[in-house]
Parts: sequence; C-alpha cells; structure tokens
Amino acid sequence: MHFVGLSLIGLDCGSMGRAIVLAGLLAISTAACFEWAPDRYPPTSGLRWTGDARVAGSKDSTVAGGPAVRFRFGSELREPPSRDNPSEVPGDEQAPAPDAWLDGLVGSWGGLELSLAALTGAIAGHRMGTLAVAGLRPWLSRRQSNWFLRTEQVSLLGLLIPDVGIAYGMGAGAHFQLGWELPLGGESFQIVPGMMWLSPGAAQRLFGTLAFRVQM
Amino acid sequence: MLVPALLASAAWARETGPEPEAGPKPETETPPVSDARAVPIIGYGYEEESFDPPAWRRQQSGHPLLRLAGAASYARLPAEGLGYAGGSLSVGYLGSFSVSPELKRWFFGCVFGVEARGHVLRSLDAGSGAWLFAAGLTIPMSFIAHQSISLERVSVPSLFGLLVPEAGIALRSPQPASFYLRWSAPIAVLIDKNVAVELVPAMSLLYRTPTGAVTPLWQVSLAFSWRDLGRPVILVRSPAPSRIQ
Repeated sequence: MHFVGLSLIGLDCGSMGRAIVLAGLLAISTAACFEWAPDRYPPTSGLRWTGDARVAGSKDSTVAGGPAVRFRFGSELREPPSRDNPSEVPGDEQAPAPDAWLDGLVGSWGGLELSLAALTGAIAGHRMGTLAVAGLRPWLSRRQSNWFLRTEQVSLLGLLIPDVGIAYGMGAGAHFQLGWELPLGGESFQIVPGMMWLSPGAAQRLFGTLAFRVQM
Repeated sequence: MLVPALLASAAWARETGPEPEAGPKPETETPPVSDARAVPIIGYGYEEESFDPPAWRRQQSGHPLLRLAGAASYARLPAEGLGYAGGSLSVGYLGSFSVSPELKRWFFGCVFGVEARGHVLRSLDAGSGAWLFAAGLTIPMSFIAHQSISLERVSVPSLFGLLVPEAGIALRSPQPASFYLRWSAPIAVLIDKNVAVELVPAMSLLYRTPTGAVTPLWQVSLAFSWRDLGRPVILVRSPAPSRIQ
C-alpha cells in the first residue's frame, strides 16, 4: 500500500485538493507500516529533528532565505537478513549485509517527515516578501542502527520521493509545491542542494534551493 | 588557593615516599595528586573572593528561567524618510541546555526559550506625529563559548537565532496596522552575574502597507537585561597542565 501511494503521487499532482488527499493516504499507509517493538535492541523505530539554514532562488531574480525545520519519525520496515554462518573473525560483523544492494536501492526504514520553512527575500528582484512552506514527505532510508535516525542514510528511492505540501506568500496566495533534495555530508553536518516546484503544470515556478543542515 | 595547597602536599608526598604498611593511619590523609585534575572555583560562596567573573553558564541548566530586558532604540523607515526614537520591553523564559558538539551550538545555540517583546517608536521629525507600537513573540537562540573564560560573559545569536524572526502585529499612525517580522542580532555582555548590557541591531519588515509593498524598518537598540539564575551552579575548570604533575 505504501508503494501504491508513492506511485499515485507521481501520477496525479495537478489539483491541490487531490494532492492533499493523496498525502493523507500516504500518511495512513506509512503509519500502517510501522512496527512497534520498543523492547527490541537495536530499536526499530526512531525520530530526528533537523534545522536548515536555507536559500531559494529562481530565474526571475527571486532570492529568499530563512530557517527550515524537519521532524522525521520512522520505523524499520524490513529486518536485516540473519547470517547462517557468522564468521568468528573479529570485525567481520561490520561487513556489508548480503542485501546491501536492496538496502541502498529501496531502503529498510520508512516513515514520515514534516517540514516547515519561512523564506524571506526579494521577489523578482524589486519587492520584498515572505514564502511560508509546509510539506509532508514519506521517506525511505538505508538501515539505521540507533534510536536517533541518521538522515544521511539515504536510499535511491527515498531520494526520488518528493516533499508534498503548500507554499503560501510571495504576494500570490497559496501554491501546491513539490520538493526534492540531496543531502551531502555526514551525520553532524550536511550541505543539501535541492529544488522546489511551485504550482506544477499551471503558472509554475521552479526554485533551486541550498540548505545547510545540522541534526539535533 | 586549593592548587598551591595540593602542590605543596604533592611535594611533601614525593619527599617522604610511601608510608609504612604497619601502624595506624593518620587522621588526615594526603589526597593523591592524580585526583587534583579540576578545581571548582565558582559558587555563590566564592564570589566574595572576587576572582570569579560573571559567566552565562552559571545559570541553572535545563530549566526555563525569567529574563527581563528594557532598551532605548533609534529606528529609520527609509520608505517614508522618517527617523524614530523609542524603546522596547521584553519578558521571556529561557533555558540553558547542554548542546554538543560545538558545531551544534553555533547552529542552534545553547540558550533557548520564548520571549514576548513590545516596541514603541515615535517620529523624531517635527510635525510628523507618526508612531508605531509593535508586539510580537520570538524564540531567542544564543551561543555561549565554553572553552574560553574571557568569552564566557559574551553571548551572541546562533545561526538559527539570526534566521528565526520575531512575528507580531504593528499598530501604526497614520498607516494602518500590519503584520511584521523582525530579525535581530543581540550581542550581550554580562556586567554582573545577573545583568547584561546588549547591543541589538535589528531589521523589521512591515507587511500590508497601502501601496502593497513590504516596508523595511532598521533599528538599533541599547538594552539592559536581567536574568534569573535559578539554583547556584558550580563550574569546574581544569588548571594549567604544567602546574599539576
């Protein structure tokens, strides 16, 4: 159901109302995938706050910047494969799991990420304004090892899933928005290039974004 | 005072060598020198001896504590070509938290909270009669150095503290009321354990003006702030390595 929802979001994003319904369905399907097992170690669910210093710009000389926060919650969707013949060589337990390719391609953990941003700057180069952005993103990541999710553990499919939400401001009311980003860096600090697509299909505007991210 | 005493006792211990195994132990044992790695030098009792500089970190950690501030301000509204003078008052609850590594402190800060602020400004130009009253809420986030004793009385905004605006309503005359966002960069220096003097450059954006444009308001303030310390905190500093063998 999770992946059905993900494919639907790619097919139908012309109407904001339908997109909100789809985002709700995704939230429900992702929540249904959660596996609650708080007594297990390593933990099988986790959360993470991150803070971004973010800049967005578009071809019409709009440049805006400001803070963005993200709250991510997720759980293990697929257990690691058990090893039939564990080696007794010290350190061998750090060797890649036999399903590393599937982990990198699809991911083993999934959940939801809520993002909020307030970007202020110059619109079309001559007047000032603020753009408030709220989004929800189903995400997939590679295997995690502790309670605080490591947001740099991206999977390929996880990178392709967009942030879906609403952007309000810049003197033009509410816009439906899609966003993608590519976190580069480690656990402590990331530089995150990305893009934000406002009102896809009709009066659309495309922004390039750059964020500096530190995890709390 | 504690370090010279420990050094003297260490020298005594080296000269006399190990104590004989037999016989009763003396009533006061000499502490091993290896235990003397840190010297507590701060506490309310120590302040009377006056080599205890004010430090932001002396605030009780992890608890929201009261902070009050008052400021005198000068502001400039370039769109109208007017200069303003006035003041600001703020009341907030801020907590000091242990945030590490230092990169996170620069990014998020280590003192967070919620603060309500009010600003009153009146035009300096004779005959203008323009005034502005603004009230808003913000989340102050500031950075405090942990490594340098000389800098522990200085507080600067963290990167996120610079980016997160104060938001509120501005009542203006003769202009209509408007929503506003205000970014500020307070640089605060403690002059007493509770009291700081602050220089606060700030920029506000006033929205919904009659022309539809967003108007910037530039402001600089000199403020005095008072903070509640909560429970007394003992800071522990390591002495210079050359003084302890």
